[in-house]
Amino acid sequence: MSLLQIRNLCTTFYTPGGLVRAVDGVSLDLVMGKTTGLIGETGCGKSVLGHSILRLLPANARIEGSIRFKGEELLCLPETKLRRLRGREMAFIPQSPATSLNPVLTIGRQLVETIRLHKRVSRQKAREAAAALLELLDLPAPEKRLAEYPHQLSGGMRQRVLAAMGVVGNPSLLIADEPTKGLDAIVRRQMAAVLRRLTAKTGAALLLITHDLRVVAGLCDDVAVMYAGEIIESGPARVVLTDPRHPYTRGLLGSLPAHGLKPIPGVSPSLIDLPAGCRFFHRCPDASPACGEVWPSLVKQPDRQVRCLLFAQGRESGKGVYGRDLQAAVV
Amino acid sequence: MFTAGIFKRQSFKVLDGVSLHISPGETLGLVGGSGCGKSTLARVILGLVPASSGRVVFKGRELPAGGNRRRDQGWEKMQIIFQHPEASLNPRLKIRDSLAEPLRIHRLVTDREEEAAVIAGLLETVGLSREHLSRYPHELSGGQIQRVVLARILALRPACIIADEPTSMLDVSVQAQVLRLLKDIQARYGLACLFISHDLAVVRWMSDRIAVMSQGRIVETGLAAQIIKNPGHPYTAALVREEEFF
Repeated sequence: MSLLQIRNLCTTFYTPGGLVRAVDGVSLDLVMGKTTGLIGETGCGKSVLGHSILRLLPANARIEGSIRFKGEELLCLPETKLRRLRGREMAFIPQSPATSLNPVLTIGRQLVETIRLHKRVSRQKAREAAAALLELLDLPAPEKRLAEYPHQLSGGMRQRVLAAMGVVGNPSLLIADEPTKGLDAIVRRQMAAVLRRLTAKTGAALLLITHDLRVVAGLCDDVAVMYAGEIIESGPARVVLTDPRHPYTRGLLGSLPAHGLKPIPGVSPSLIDLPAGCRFFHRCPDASPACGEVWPSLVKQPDRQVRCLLFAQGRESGKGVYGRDLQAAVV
Repeated sequence: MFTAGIFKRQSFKVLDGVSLHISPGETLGLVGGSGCGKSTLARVILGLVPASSGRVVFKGRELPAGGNRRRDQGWEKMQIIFQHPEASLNPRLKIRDSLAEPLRIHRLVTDREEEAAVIAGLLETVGLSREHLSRYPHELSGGQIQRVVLARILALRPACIIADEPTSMLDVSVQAQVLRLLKDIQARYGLACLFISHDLAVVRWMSDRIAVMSQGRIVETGLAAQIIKNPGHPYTAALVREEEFF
């Protein structure tokens, strides 16, 4: 049974420049005890999707569609009820640990505050719980860390403190936004191990928002690839990463240093002025003229979903029709 | 040829007896974990941070103590790309002004027309277009900013570029673009490059030789392929294993 069901989610920002369609028709299921990776480049809408689940968006945003959490529709929930869910049922580990902690309060003070927000315990008990939590996350000398300020900790340590804050309320859904950004290989591995242990211990579902494909390969059961606000390929992580179908996923894997560091040409389209056809059309090495005209829907395959005309049924006939149209237009 | 020595501050050794050299046209990759002293070494080489002892020799000239760089001594031929694109450019200057600044400071152009021509040439080299000139840094992506930084550096016709984790804040696809550009430019102008990164896979792709740093010391140097195949130091071996882990 899925813990969280996202159906046809659209998140739109109203800006002076026009409507920014950051998330456009996304459907996703998160299952208890499973880790789902959400990958894509900067500005593709993956962080906005994470924020939309918790409804932590600025006033100029509008969310449409459906997000059901344990059967309850989150988008209809009043703010007071939502506040009770946040932290206790669904928690968020923010990116950039450098700016997400309060620089003038000690780690202990910030953790104790979070713990006492969720449980009615004394300060002393909360402090003990905080130390135990840091120990669980492999932070050396947790008692000493509690008395320190964020600037005295390294990036990897701060990230673990944020993870600790996230799991204080024993949430059944954990959303981690770029938990390994800027960390070196060894610290990245420790962070991955910490996240794996947390989900194993609590049985929580983890949505891992990242652009680090190595972390996805090491940590995720399922993966969804986002491009320009849409999910363009999703399926089991092992399947998608070893045998990518969508040209964008293939390009992403090809740009890894281990795969020859081949960049994808061009830049992703503006979310204000989206093209009519496939959003990857002008960067795609396998594009046919039809791709610029027809917006591809998500095609179900036995082991995954792909949003690409290459895999659409009846593509041959479709291509023929649109090819004729194009020629007529040229004449 | 560089020689940097012991660096002491608050009786804490960040760098400890570091010696290395880079030849023209060569890329030396410097790998190491967070806080091992990679970035400090970059700053010492450029004279941004004074070394407690030891010396830095660039094109046969010794870097003056206390980082007292003078413009007429040719130190502008050594330049750096920083890690954080959002902090690399003056947020209040348009890209055009950021690009013009080094040209004016070093009096490389005589009038506005020449300046515009040089800037246009630089833009083409790094793959940006004229429309970017009138924008502010916050209107550009991280990858575009690193291109602007590279253009600024190329304006001074450098002999050596120090790249301090230039792509660790970028997406993989953008990282590939920027690294390829850096390598192209390096080959075209015969630049020496000190490429600093914590990502062994990236360093392997970029570098001819690799130096591995741990706790302020260079623990191993050698040809890139050899070091990765046969790591001689436990720390290097741990790094190689990490690459295989994911």
